[in-house]
Amino acid sequence: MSSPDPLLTELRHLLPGTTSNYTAASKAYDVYEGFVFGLVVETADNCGANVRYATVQGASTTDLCFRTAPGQLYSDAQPYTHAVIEFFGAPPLEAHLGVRVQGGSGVLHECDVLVLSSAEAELSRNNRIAPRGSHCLLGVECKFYAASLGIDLARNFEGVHVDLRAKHEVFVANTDGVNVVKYLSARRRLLERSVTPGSPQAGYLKSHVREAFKSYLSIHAPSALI
Amino acid sequence: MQDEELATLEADLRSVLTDAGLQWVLDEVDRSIADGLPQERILRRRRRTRAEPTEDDYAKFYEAAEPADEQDARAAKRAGTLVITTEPYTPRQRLQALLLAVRRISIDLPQIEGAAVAILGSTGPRDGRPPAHSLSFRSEAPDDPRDRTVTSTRSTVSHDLARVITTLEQLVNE
Repeated sequence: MSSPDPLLTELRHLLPGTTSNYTAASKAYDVYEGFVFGLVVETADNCGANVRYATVQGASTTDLCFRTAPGQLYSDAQPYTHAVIEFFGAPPLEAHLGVRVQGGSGVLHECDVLVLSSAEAELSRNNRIAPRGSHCLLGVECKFYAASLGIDLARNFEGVHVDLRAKHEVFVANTDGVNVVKYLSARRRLLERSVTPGSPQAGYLKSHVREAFKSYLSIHAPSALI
Repeated sequence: MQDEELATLEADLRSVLTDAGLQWVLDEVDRSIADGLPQERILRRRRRTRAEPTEDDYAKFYEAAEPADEQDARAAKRAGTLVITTEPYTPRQRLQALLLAVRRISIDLPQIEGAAVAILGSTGPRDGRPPAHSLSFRSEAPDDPRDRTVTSTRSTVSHDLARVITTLEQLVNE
């Protein structure tokens, strides 16, 4: 057997160059949420929607600014960006990253990626109130983990899901966890694990997002085909 | 590799990760290791007897055995006799978990970041979406250390890292 020492020396040399941006778990979470937000935008594109980016003040932008921690949708502390998604014949939707949403119990929950009607988002901005979960179309819980997923994450998602009451909710992770799969499957919750660029699971997630858009259009533009 | 060599390699690998500022990765792996590996067992009566177990000797009547196959496990689940135990990680499994974590943080995550930049920076399938010029993460508080602008970090370093990690994984699996 060859010695691992030269490999460890090489690893010690190479690792900081690649991982210097990820020296806290929260930074990895940001990147993963940005990726899933991209998949939602891409799905809207593929379904024929017109998509543009806007700041909290409503100005169109191509310089995207996302939150490092969950905040209020109406916060104007930074020019936080959301995507405006317009399907022909239907009221526009918005996709946000890392915003607080009001659950049925009256408490605020964090939603990693949220799709809601522009009307509900406008209501939130005009009145500086959190959007109501029951008025949201899609909530995605994003988890990037270096190790396997702990059961606490699934319990947390289940608790939020019960209270949030968004029409569609999905738990998405880059990795796996036997207990998480068992727990959420037993409760018939939507779960996509091992969602990474180019993976079949990324395609399955986009199918769930498309289903959410389809259900929205079935009410507002039944003749629309996506 | 023998257990002693595996333990030495694990200690060295932990030192590399700590020095690279990746203590949080070690914390995640340690939580997984502390949880152990869940295993399914089937609770079966230890011996044939018509007598029903009493409170005092209840535990003696049963033993937990590995399911013979998937069908066996499903039948036990229906009967309510499928039970769960956890096995501790072996030294080899501990190192495999560590190396997988290194792979996820040093190879997968830069790829995910690159994909996010590529998707949001594209014009979409019908050239209808304005491409994003920049992508940044900002705290509500000014000058927060978490603030950063994301760029695609795909480079030849990832290929070198992939080679090193793959070779280490092969060594551990020997």
